[in-house]
Amino acid sequence: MTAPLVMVLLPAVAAFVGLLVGGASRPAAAAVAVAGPLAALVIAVSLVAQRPWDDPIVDTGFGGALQPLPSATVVDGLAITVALMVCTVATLVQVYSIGYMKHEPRYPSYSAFVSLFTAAMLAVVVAGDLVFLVIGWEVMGLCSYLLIGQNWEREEARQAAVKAFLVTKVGDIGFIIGVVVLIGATATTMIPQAVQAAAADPTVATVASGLILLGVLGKSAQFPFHDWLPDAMAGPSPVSALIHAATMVAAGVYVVARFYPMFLAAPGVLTVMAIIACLSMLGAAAIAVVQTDIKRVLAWSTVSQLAYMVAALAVGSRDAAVFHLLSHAFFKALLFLAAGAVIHSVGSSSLRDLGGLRRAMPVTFATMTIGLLALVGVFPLAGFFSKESVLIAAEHAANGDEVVAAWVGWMVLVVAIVTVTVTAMYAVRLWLLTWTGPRPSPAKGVHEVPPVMYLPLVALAVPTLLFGALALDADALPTWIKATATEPSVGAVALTPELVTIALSVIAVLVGAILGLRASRRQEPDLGRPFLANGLGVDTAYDWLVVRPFLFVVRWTTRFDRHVIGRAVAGVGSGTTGAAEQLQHNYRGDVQRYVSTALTALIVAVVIVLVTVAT
Amino acid sequence: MHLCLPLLLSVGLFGIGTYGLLVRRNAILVLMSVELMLNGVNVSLVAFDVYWAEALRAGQSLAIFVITIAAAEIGLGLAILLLLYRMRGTIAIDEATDLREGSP
Repeated sequence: MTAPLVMVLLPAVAAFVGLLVGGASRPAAAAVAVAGPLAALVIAVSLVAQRPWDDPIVDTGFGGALQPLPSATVVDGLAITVALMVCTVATLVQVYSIGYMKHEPRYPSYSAFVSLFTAAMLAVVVAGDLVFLVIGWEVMGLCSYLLIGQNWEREEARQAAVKAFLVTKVGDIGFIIGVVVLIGATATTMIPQAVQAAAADPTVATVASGLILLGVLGKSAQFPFHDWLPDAMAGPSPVSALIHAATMVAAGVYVVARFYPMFLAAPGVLTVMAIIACLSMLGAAAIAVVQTDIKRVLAWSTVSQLAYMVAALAVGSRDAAVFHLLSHAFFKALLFLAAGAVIHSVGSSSLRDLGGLRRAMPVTFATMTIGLLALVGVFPLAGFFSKESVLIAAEHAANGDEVVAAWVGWMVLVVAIVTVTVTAMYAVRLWLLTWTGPRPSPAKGVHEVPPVMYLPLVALAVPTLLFGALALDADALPTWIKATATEPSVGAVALTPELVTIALSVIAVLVGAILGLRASRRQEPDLGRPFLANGLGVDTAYDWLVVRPFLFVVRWTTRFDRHVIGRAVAGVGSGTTGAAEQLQHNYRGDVQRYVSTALTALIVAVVIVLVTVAT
Repeated sequence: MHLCLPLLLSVGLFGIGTYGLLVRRNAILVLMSVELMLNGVNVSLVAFDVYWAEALRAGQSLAIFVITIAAAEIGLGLAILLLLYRMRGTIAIDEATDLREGSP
């Protein structure tokens, strides 16, 4: 058992210890909760210190009696980079939760689930064995269910938890079948070997990556599985930060990056990915503009931003996708924690109850502004560089330099730039409605959150500000996340911004900002608003396509059961009884009548026999 | 003697017995009708026995059995009728309908 596996197990152990000691002592639970991800972070840093590696660190996992448990790990540059991000965000979320969940009676179980969630995500990140990957993947689904349903006294929290679980589970069915196909076709459960073997065979690559894509769309909340994510806002804000930044949604994109050679061998799947990404990107951003809840704006923004990563993967640039994954993780965790701080102080998440909080909450204001600027993609924040890298990747694909067709590149490029406009629009609207204007009555007497809550915000603001510098050296990140020193960079697109895309996105941001300014003033509903507010009508579509037909079938099955099968069974009984009641009138105790009947029957029988014999 | 004559006698006895069994109300007459039927059968048994002339004389043996059974039956039957008469003062069999189904 080596360092990567210990890194996965420590938060899991912390989860169980936290559950054991948490009931007795709340500070002990908090200490254990922070210690778990922090210890994992230390191990991740120590693994980084062993760089440069010529090859990934491959480990067969448990030895001895535990040998049959799938626990092989493969740690390469990509895995350790994402693991570092996961541990950082998880640690900060745990610290923040101490303050945010101060009055929550179920804090011990909550923090234990967050630790377990982190452990599951780390398992997905470092898994070298496909079965190990699936275990981490499924535990993550379980934890999301438990954490979204944290406030299970509320009806909407219960429904959101079930919805998140079921919707992602639909995708997971495809994921598991895909993994089984992959194992069956390549006769190995080790991910690097399986991916290599699958990439050599286009049929296997297409089938397996297509099926795995279903699970990815579910976890990463892409169209048509996106509708669970906004409802998941029923969970506490730190959980949202965790789900939207470090775990869950990142897992989907990460798995594609991990299996990337196989996806590159299946251009059809990449084209489907690009179309889905374009739908999710623009659709979710448009929905975010009309939301009236601070967390829902951010949730739809996550769907839109994840679509950028999926689009980057679809146009052949893993580096751009991972770059955006990391920078998005930092600024989106920051945004959710800041939104949580606002909600914590004001006691409402509705944008109508917010406004004019600038002076009351200066630290939250400053950090959230940084986060929103990064989201919009303003120079020189992380979001600017990572979004530029996605645009450049799309531009390269549009020039026909990648495996996908040129029209796919054009589509992604145009939609991505339009989405930049819409992103600026909802970000500006959110910022104006939260921080400026008159202060509504619920926001009276609001003051800054305690340090245990604003320090994580500050800590996340630092990478949000500085992370983009990584792109200044074009080869830095691609070299860093390469699996081996000898491996050629997959989709070798430089991450340094280019003038054309910069110019386009600056114009897009400016247009979006002006539109956002107008959108924030407008209170009246306008055309298309109900449609957008419902999440592009996907919930309605599911209602008509799945729920209603299902209920229809159920209703008719019940009717058939009750009126046909049930009546047939009851009819056999009542029919027999009725026949018996009719027949008993013949039994009058008159022996002579019996005998004459018997004799008549005998004569008839004899006549029949004689006639039969004669003919 | 032709086989036809005893068989005609047999059928006549059996038919008279059957008629009596079905239409008589008096239980003693019903019992007598049963005797007539049995003896009709006996006549045909003996007639066929003579006709076939088997070494084992199965027809005659069976006739002896039937006579024995008939004797026992008439003894039992008369005892039952005696009890019936003591209990009800009548032996009309269409009034002895205690074993009928439905409401008494």
